[in-house]
Amino acid sequence: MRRHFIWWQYLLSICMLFLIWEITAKLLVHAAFPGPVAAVTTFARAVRGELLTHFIISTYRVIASLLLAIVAAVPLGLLLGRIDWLDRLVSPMVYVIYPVPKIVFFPLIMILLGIGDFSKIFIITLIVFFQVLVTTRDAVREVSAASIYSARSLGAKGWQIYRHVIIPACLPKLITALRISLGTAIAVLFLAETVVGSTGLGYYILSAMYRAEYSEMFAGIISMGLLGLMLYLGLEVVEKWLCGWQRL
Amino acid sequence: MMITLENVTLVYGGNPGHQALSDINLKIRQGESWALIGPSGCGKSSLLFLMSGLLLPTTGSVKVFNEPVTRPRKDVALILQDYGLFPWKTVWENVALGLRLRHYRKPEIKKIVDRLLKSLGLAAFQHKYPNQLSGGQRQRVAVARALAVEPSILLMDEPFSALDALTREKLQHMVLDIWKTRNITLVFVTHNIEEAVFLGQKIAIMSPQPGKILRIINNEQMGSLDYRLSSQFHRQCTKVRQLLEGK
Ligand SMILES: Nc1ncnc2c1ncn2[C@@H]1O[C@H](COP(=O)(O)OP(=O)(O)OP(=O)(O)O)[C@@H](O)[C@H]1O
Ligand SMILES: [Mg+2]
Repeated sequence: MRRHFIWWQYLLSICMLFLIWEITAKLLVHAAFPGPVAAVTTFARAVRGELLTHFIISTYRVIASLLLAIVAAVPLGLLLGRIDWLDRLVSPMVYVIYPVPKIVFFPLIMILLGIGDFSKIFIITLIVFFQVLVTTRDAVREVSAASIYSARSLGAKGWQIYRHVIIPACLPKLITALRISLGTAIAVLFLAETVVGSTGLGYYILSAMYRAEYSEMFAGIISMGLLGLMLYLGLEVVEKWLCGWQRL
Repeated sequence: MMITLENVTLVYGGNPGHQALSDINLKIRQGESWALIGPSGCGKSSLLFLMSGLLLPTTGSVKVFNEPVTRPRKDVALILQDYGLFPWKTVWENVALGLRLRHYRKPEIKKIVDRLLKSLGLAAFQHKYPNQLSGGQRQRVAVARALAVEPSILLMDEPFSALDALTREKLQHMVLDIWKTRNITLVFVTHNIEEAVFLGQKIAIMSPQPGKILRIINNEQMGSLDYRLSSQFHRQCTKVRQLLEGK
């Protein structure tokens, strides 16, 4: 049994969160830390203006990065998990690069790819790519020999084995990996948007800070939270659709 | 001859490797029903894998219809030890899979699957997933999936070992019925002596390390539901037990 989406539970959690926020703001009494009422009011106003544009740009960057990472990493992971010689060739390389914090390459990426959207999307893709690659490959390896034998005895070959056995068996783990990568992706997005450029929620938050517009800064932070929540719920829907059998 | 094994040995990979089967010779005729029985690890599953073309022998030859087996054949169906159903497919989709892989047309698949599910009493469960079924129901789904492709040979690996006694008997009757009405060649693995004697026209008794065929017992009187109650049935059971115990 896994959790279902129950809207009032989410509502309750958000109320709790606002309560804790309110109490912290009251205790802290600092201009840079407004209470939730001020922040939400500013958010409601700002979202009708340029905040929405920044929100859409950031959303586009995260989604594009995740999709690119999936498109690049999943097929490679599916192959590495099944083809031993390829795995022996590629995996040592992956292990060397995997633990290096890829964000250190961001300056280089900006030099090579420019300071626009593409370098931001690229750095997020790069980070998520390795997480998805390693998860996919390991999930493929864990597919039981019995289910592959079972498919082969029914006449499945090559792609059919992927289509009917390996991919469905790996999907739940893949979606879990994406859920975990989502946090990293948004953190890296924030960083990348604050380093350079004048678009996106990272830029919006930082520029509000420089202007000492703290309610505006919090409106940006709320937007970041919404972005994460939205993508998380999106994954939840995809999971329910593709892996419904798991929850029985 | 339906299935022929000549001087078959099987060594599992690795160094030095594990010899699972040694010097197996079997001749299985069209329409026969064979029980393979022996202690755990004696190579019963491996033997079925060889017949189904999922494994190739290290030496010797495995033939079906006088053709060497090099890969899974269309006319051989295998039911694995734990049924091998796909938890991500519904009952209907599981049963339809073999036909889909053989590129049958959709209306035809539907006709075959619906008829089969109905005849095995599974119609009510067609939209359920395997996890939502009892062991006996799952086993019936596995049988339906194997029969969907109308195999001439049905291989079953410990088909009823996880079931309670009554369900087990019911399914044994079902398999007996399938064997008699479909003119299928049946080879099944079992740990259960009564099952071997009830369903096996021939009973191959195996011994371990490495797996060998110790003895083949003729059991031609089988084939009716009340065979179980006859004294011949009990004599055969005793005989098999003594051989298994090495007497
Ligand atoms: N993939 C494998 N690699 C190495 N050894 C194996 C492999 N599969 C089986 N074996 C070994 O081969 C022998 C025969 O295995 P097999 O599964 O055929 O036995 P079995 O008679 O079906 O046993 P059980 O009654 O427990 O199902 C065993 O000793 C087992 O450990
Ligand atoms: Mg076995």
